[in-house]
Amino acid sequence: MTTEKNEVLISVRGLEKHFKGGELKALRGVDADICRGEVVVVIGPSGSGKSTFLRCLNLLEQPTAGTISLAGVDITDPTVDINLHRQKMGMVFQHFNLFPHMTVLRNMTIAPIKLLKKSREEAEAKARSLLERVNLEDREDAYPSQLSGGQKQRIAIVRALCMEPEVMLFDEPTSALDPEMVGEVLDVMKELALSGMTMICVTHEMGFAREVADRVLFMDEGKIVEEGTPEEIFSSQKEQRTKDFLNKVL
Amino acid sequence: MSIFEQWWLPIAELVENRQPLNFFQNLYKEIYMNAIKDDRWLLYLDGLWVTLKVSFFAILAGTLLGTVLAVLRLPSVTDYRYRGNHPLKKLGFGVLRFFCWFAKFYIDLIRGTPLLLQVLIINFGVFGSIRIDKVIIGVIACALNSAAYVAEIVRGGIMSVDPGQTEAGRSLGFSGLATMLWIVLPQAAKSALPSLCNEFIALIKETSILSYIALTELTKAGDYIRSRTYSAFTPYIISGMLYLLLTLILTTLIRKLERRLRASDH
Amino acid sequence: MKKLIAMLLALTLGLTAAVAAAEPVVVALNPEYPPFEYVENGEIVGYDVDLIKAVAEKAGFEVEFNAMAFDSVISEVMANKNTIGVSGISITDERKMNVDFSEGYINAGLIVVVKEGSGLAVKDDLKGKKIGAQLGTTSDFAAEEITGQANTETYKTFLDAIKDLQGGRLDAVIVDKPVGMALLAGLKDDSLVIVDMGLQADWYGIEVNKENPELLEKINAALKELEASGYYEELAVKYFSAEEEAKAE
Repeated sequence: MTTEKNEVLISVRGLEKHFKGGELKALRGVDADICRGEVVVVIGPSGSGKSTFLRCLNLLEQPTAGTISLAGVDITDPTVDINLHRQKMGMVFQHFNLFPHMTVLRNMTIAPIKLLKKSREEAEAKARSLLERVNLEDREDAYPSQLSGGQKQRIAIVRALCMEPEVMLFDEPTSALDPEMVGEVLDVMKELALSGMTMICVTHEMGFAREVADRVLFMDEGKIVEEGTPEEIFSSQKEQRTKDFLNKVL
Repeated sequence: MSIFEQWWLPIAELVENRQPLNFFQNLYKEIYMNAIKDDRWLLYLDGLWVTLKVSFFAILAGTLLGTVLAVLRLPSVTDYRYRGNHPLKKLGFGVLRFFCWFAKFYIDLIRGTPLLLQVLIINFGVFGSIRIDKVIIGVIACALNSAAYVAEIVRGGIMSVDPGQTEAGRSLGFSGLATMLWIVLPQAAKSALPSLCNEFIALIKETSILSYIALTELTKAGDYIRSRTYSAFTPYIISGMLYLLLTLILTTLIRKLERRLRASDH
Repeated sequence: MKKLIAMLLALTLGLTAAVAAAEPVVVALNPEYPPFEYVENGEIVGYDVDLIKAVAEKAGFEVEFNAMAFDSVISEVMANKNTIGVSGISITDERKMNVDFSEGYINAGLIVVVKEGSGLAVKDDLKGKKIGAQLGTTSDFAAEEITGQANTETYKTFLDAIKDLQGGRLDAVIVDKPVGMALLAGLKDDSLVIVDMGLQADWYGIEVNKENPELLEKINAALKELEASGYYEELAVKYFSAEEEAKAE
C-alpha cells in the first residue's frame, strides 16, 4: 500500500468542549492535523481532555466550538450527514461495547450489511478473514459473554475494521483489561499500524507509544501542551509539565 | 336425545316438583343449565374468540405505540446531543421536545384515569356516531390504555441498557433510530419482558370491561348466560377458567421467548 | 386513646342494638330505570320505591335499599333470604324456577324506540335489524325472539343502548313502555320516536326468596289492600301522567 504520509486526513481547528453549561471546560482550543497513514498517540494525565478530544473527532461529543475536517469536509457543519462520515472512522472503546445479544460474526457483519449494503456472504467472508488475522476464527459463533476481555477487545477492533474505515480511533483500549491480556490487544494494534492504517490512540501504554507512534501528543488541561516524535517526547521534552507527567508514569 | 339430556330429565323433574337437590344433582343442574342446554357452551367459545381477537391486536398495537412513546420520552431525545444552531436542527429539536412533553402528558393521563371511563368515552364520545365494529373500538381503547403502561416498562428497559451500546452503534455509523432498533431495543426487550408479560396478562383480563359497551366477549358471554339461567356465579366460573387458560398459554409462550433471549448470556 | 376506645365501643354496641331491634328487608334494585326506580337528588325514588314503601308500611316491616346492576338483582334475592327484588321485574316462568313472585302489580307493555324516518313500523320490520336492550330484561328476550341473538346487543343499562341508537349503531331499542315514555320526555331528542308494535310484556312482580313464604304472604296481602284502596291509580297519575302529556303535545 502506498500512502502519502503528508496528505492531511483530519484537521482540527480551535476545538473547544464545555460541559455543564460552560462550568467545566474539557477542551480549551485544540489544533491538530493528522495525516493519512500516521499513527498518533495521545497521552496525558487523567482529566486532561484526551478522551474528550477523541470522542469529539467522530462527534460522539458535540464540540462547543471549533471545526473538524475529515478529508476536507467540515463534519461539524449541521447539514453534513454525520452517520456517513462515522462509517469512515472506526472506534474502539475502553469497555469493548460489543453487542451482547449477537454472536461474534453478527457483531461484525450487521453494520456492513445494513449500512454498506453488502451481501451477507460478502460481509461474512470479510469478517472471517479478519477473525483469522486476530486468531479468533474459531469463535465466530460465540456470544460476547463467552469471551475473555482480550478476546472481546480484539473482536471490537475487527468489528470496526469490517466497515473499512479510513481512520481508527482507540479510546484507552487496554485500560479495562487484566494485565496478561494487554499484550494480545497491543499486538493487534501494532500489526494494524504496520499495515498502514491511520490511527489515533489515547492510551497509558507508553511502551506502545514509544515503539509504534509516528507522533505523540501530550495533553493537559484541555490543551495540547507538547507534540513530537516519540524520541522528542520521551527523551528530550521541552515542557516542564510533560517532564512531570512522564516522571510519574515511567 | 343426548346422554346429557337423559341425565338431566330426573333432575328436571325434581326441580319442577320443588324437591331439594343433593350436592351432585345441584352441580349437574348448574353445569347443564349454564353450559349444555341450548348449546350454551358455544357462547363461551364465541366470547373467548372475541376476547382473544381483542387482546391479540391490542397487545400488538399497544406494544408498538408504547415503544414509540418510550423512545420519545428518553433523556437522550431531550438532550438531543447533536443539536446545533442551524435553524433546521433547532426546529427538529423543538418538535422533539413537544413530542416528549406530549408523551409524558399522555402517559399521566391514561394511567391516572380508569380504563372503564376511557372505554365509555371512546365508545360513546370519540366514536359516538360512527358505525364501526365494536371489536375495533375495543382494540383501540385497550391498545391506547396499554401503550401508556408499556411505555414506562420499555423506558425502564432502555435505560437499563449500557449507554456504551448506543455509542458503539453510532460510532459504526448507524443513525439514532437504527441504533435504537437494532441494538438498544432488543436488549431492552430482554430485561423488560417479565414486566411486559405482567402487562399483557393484565390487558387480557381488563378486556372484560368491554362488556360495558355491549361487546360480547368472554365476561359478557357469562353475563348473558347468567341472565338466562339466573345462576349466581357458575357462568363466571366457566368464563374465569377460560381467562386462566388464555393467560397460562401466554405465560408459557413468553417464558419460552425469555429462554431464547437468554441464549446469549452463558 | 380512651376516648377512641369508648367511641368504638359505643359504635359496636349501637350497631348490635340496631341489628337486634329490627332486621329490615333489603330491597335489591337497579335505580337506572325511570320512572320505576331512579336517583333524584341523591335519593332512590320512583314508582317501585313508593310502592314497596307503602307495602312495607301495610305489612309492618322496614326496608333498606340496595342499588346494583339489573342482572345482579335476582342472584341477590336467591342468595339472601331477607332480600326482595323490586326493580320493574317481569314475571317469567324461567325466573319462577329460581325465586317466588308476588302477584303482578303492573303490566305496561313494551315499546320500540327508533330513529325518526327509519320506516320501522311493525314487528316484522325489525327482523334482522340490530336491536338494543338491557341485559336480562323482557325487552332483551323480546329482541332476541324477533331478530336473533347475534343481532341483539345487550347493555348494562338501557340508557347505553339509547346512546348507541342515537349514534346510529343500532336500528331500534326495545324497552318497557313507561320507561321509554319517561326517557323520551327527558331526552328531548327529536330524532327519536316511539313505536308501539304491540309487543307483549309480562306483569311486573316482586321477587322473594323461595325460603321466605311468610314474607311473600305478607307482601301479597298488602298489595291486595293497596289495589283495593286505589293506590295503583294514584301512582300511575304521579309517574305516568307527565309522559302522557308529553305524548299528547
